[in-house]
Amino acid sequence: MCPDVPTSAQPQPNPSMLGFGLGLRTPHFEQILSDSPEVDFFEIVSENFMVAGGKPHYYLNAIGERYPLVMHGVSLSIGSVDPLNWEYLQQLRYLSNKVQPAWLSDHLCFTGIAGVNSHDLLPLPYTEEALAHVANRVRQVQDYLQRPLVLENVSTYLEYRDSSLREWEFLNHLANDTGCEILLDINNIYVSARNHGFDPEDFLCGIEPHHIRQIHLAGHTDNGDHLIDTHDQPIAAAVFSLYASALRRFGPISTLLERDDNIPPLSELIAELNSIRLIAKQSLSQGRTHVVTF
Amino acid sequence: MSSLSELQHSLFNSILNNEDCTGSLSWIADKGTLSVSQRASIYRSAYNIRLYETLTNDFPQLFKYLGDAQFHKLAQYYIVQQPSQHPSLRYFGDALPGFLKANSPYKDFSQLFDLALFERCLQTAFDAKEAPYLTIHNFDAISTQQWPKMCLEVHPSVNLIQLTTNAVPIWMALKEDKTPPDMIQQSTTWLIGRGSSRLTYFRSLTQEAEQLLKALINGQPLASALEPYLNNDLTQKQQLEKLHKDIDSFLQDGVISCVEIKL
Repeated sequence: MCPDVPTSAQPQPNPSMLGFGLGLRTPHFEQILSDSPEVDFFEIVSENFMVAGGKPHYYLNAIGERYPLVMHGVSLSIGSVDPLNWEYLQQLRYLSNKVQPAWLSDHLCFTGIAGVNSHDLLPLPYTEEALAHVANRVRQVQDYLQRPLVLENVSTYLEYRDSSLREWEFLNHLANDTGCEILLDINNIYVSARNHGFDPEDFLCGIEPHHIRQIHLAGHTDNGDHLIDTHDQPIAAAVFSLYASALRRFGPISTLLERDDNIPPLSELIAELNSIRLIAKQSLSQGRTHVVTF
Repeated sequence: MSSLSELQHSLFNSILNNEDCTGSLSWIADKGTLSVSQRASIYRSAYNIRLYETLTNDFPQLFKYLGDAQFHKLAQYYIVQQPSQHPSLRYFGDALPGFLKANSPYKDFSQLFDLALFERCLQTAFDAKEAPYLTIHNFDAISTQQWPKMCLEVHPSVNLIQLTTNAVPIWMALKEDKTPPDMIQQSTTWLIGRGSSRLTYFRSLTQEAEQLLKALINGQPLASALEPYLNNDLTQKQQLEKLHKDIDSFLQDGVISCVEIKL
């Protein structure tokens, strides 16, 4: 267990708190416009809207007029040893200028090498060399986009023998070196912890709270001896529990429910989002704890 | 200690190589309940599944036509030969029609190329660039005296494709879960685009309408696009009526974006 000290029964206000959001998915476009569900914000997958026009842009504009939006990319490949893809960044900047998201995120990973894209979020070694490499690229991207990047921890299924830092140490260093922020995916922490045999609470204890801009929650598939981050089912009880622990440590943070496959009716996701709200309310009313650094 | 570049190449090679390469996985930390081979295979499987699902989603009727086993075989071949080089999966299937046309045994079944090309063009029309649509009302407000100087701009979603088989009737039957007709050689030009309701449409074109549309796509004024209608068997009035009918059809579909009068 990490050291923590209860400080106040009331959580501190978070000026960047957008509330509780949903990933914007095609099957729900029409219903969102017709029913105006109680969702505080929507998160778009940036690449889904890097097309010239048609229905994707029509719905993006219409929903963007009614709800705050944040952008979440999957192809920045910030950790790759390939050169930055400036054509991609140009499209990202164009979309960002159009959408005016509250923030723009991607993943701490690499997705391709030698010009080939895996379309997967591949893990980085947590080494000093990788840290310097990623930090340099984050600075370039932030300069180009004229906004801080928000980077998410990914679910991983392997670790590199050469890693010398823990994932949260790598994220802290990166955020301190570059001013980027952190999207803390609680499900990914849990999945990686199970797959690599560490205590997920250690991750929460290790991460520096002031860098955290957003939280993701999602479902995974339990294969017994390992977990796969599938985003195709409801959030597991253990992940809810870890989320509650995170909020008790960090206070209120904008939280998003992600569902990418086996997408249920919108009403089911709203019900799950309301469960998240309830857990957040209960966790925050139990009092916030602060990390003490020794 | 390996460099970042070496480690990234090691992981990527283990993903792209389908054979088990346990001996070369010493860069993976060997701990926990999974072997290093199992850990690498999770990424390898995810890569293949993701790309395979992209192709089944983007070519749903081709998938039905070939069936699970044959489509899977095709997809595995394509994934190896045409690895994705674009940040978005949206474009992964772009090369599939050409791949079918160039490679055995697929090139011997020309309806496969036609089906894949047709499905790809539907996708291209779906998310093509936005542009206004010229309405019949606005068009009719233009004096016929100005017609010769008129340039009709074609909507960016419009595409003309020449198919050599009855792939579209095959596609339509498959979409309705009916038994598709036997393949026959049948040269047809198809117009594909996206209408004002943002729905994609397609229809075959007569030779005159095809030539007219090609002329408009090339930016020719209407006067020089009229040649296909100058049929000696028809009176001038009949020629004009035929032209007007084709233009009306274009306007109803959403083929024409705007009009410019060249002075």
